[in-house]
Amino acid sequence: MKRNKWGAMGLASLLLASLLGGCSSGKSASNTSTNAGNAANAEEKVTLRFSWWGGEDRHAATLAAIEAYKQVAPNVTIEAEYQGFDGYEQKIKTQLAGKTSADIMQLDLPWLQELTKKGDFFVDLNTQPEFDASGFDQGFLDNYGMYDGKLAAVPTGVNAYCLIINKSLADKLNVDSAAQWTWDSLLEAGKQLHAQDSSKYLLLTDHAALRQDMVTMLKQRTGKQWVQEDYTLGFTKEDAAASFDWLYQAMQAGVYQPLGESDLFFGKIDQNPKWINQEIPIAPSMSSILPSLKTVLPEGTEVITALPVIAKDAKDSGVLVRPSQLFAVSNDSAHKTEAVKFLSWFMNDPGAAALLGDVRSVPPVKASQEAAVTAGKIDAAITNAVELGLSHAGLVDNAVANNSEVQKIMDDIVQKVSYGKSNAEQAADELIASLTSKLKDLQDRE
Amino acid sequence: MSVTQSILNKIPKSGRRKIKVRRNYQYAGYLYILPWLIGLLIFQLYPFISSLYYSFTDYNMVSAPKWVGLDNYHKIFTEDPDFYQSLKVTGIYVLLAVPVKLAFALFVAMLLSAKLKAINFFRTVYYLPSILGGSVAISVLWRFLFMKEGVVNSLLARLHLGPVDWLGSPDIALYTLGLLTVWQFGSSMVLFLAGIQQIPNDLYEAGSIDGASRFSMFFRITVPMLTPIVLFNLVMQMVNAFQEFTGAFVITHGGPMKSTYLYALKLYEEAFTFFKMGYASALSWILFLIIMAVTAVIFKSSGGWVHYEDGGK
Repeated sequence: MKRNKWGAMGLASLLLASLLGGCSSGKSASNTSTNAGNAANAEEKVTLRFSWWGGEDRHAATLAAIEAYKQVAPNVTIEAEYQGFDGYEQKIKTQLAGKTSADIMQLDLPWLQELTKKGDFFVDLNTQPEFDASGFDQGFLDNYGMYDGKLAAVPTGVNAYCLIINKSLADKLNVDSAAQWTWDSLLEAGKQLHAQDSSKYLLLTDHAALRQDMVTMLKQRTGKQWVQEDYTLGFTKEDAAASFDWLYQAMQAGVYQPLGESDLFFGKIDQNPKWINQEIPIAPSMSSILPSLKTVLPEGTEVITALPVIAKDAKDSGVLVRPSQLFAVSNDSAHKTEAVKFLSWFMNDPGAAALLGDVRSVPPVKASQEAAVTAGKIDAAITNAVELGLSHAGLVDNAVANNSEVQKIMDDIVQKVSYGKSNAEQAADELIASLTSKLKDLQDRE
Repeated sequence: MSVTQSILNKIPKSGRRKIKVRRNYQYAGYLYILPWLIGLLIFQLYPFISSLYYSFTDYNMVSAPKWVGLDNYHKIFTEDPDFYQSLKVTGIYVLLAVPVKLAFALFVAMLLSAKLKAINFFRTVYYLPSILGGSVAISVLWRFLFMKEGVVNSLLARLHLGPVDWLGSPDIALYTLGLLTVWQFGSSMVLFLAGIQQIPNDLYEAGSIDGASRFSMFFRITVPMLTPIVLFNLVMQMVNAFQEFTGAFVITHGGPMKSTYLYALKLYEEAFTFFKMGYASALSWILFLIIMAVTAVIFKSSGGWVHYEDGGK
């Protein structure tokens, strides 16, 4: 075998170059919608792309609604682009930057808050005569859909943080499913359950849910957002240390399944075998997750909801009520009018609502809500969670608190505490130091 | 060139026109590879060079890039502990996964070089994992195999072993992901197999006449004769391992406790979660330089351990 040293080196570097080049380019060349001209008249054939994430039930219901829209607008073809939560954020952000996003897209609140700061991606629905926003609660729209005076997106549903309880299992395990929990009583009950049977844990989680718990605890202690809109902290070291101390104890006592096991199902807690095999009775989660958590349990299993944990002396309930997700229409859409028309139908039409039911929690439009209830498509447990949430609603999350880099700091520290690698004091110090420097960095980049 | 020239000089003048015609055929050759060439320029060379430019900017893909000089590099080296963590994890990963994978590939290649009736069938079967390879589906399968209540642990339980927290323990998770890479040994194995079959039989005959054991024939004949292929496999697998992504992304998300936070994952997160494209480009150029450096070291050292029949001339 012959060799040519420099030739081989050259070849190797070219190969590297191409591998890395491919790696860093990122922008995917995906299909753009058919470009038949801007003015969409009724006769013109139009293809729209609609993207969302979700579980099986949401996919099925949304596809059924899309199918039904064929009767309403035979000239419009809707191409569905759906997937699980994992990786959806990255896909959407990349598509938006590359101007290849779907015409109508489902977004999560934190991304919307971030994206509206970075560019003008979405159609102002208030300027669209085809869009009927009259059925929405104006306050809800103002809080979550309006950015710089524009209605960039509308809520897909009203979603409340709650405890989703497998009541059949809770009864069997002697866990009080009617309790109004405090952090102390929760810790105690979890400790007891795990001590009785080491294969059982009280709470289902992943690192994002733990982050949520920590943030809730901080809000309840201080009555303020943990990260304020002016890039300052809303808590002291003592507040953080107390919260982490609770988490540390809860992890040690087996209130939660060890994070190493549960986090394999990050963003898809309904796939956790411990939940499916009925070894965990309670999932602290958003009400919109309920259908997917329920479908994996045997038929006849009773699933109810309850108010999330509220500390006795809480200054704010910390109960999160927010849109399940939001729908926006892309500014790059070639068929904005048609896209807006579809979205308006999707949100307001009673027939659509009856098909969609509670797959995005309780519909935000009153008439749609009633239609879905009449059709028997809304789980009473979800209505309960949303009603409880609305009557106990806490602070509205601001964009800085929802920033992905800020949240990642909390994620990392929550993990250290959960694995017992940091104690409460160390974790609190690290949280404050990391946040302070990150917030400064973010402010500089504004 | 001189060789061509001397041949040209020997050809009578009347024949030279034919040569010119042949040269025209060469241009036709370029025409044939044009689609590839355009692809290379637009989809590889252009992003490659522009990523160098972006690495000196603050760029979120939405607003125009803002020139910041060496700021990104400075931040990476001085203010980003995750950078060092991801380097460490990636280093361990490369040092472990690559040699184990090559050793395993060689082992299987030895088995499959046996002259059996159904050998082609076996070769196909053993190559299958590489086709399925780094896909998302296999990563999901890996999760279900190795999770706490997964298949592997239930098999171990039958032997009254375990359970091992394959993916949940910060001390083990990286090795479990390494196994996923090792499992995709097929392409290295095929090259080894081809190499083994190229080794002249008379070497083994001479060895056995001299009374060499199979063991010493393996280490004194097979391995030295295969070193050029080892070199190639080593470089290719090393380059791939530095950029490993799918398994860690799908199965562990870099966790637990960043124990599988590979460099490519860090890069991806900066680029597509935080939208810091400039920063991510800088990270990718640092990785590029690291891979180049390691490749150079391997090539430099190869003179000492790679054996060429013709002496490497």
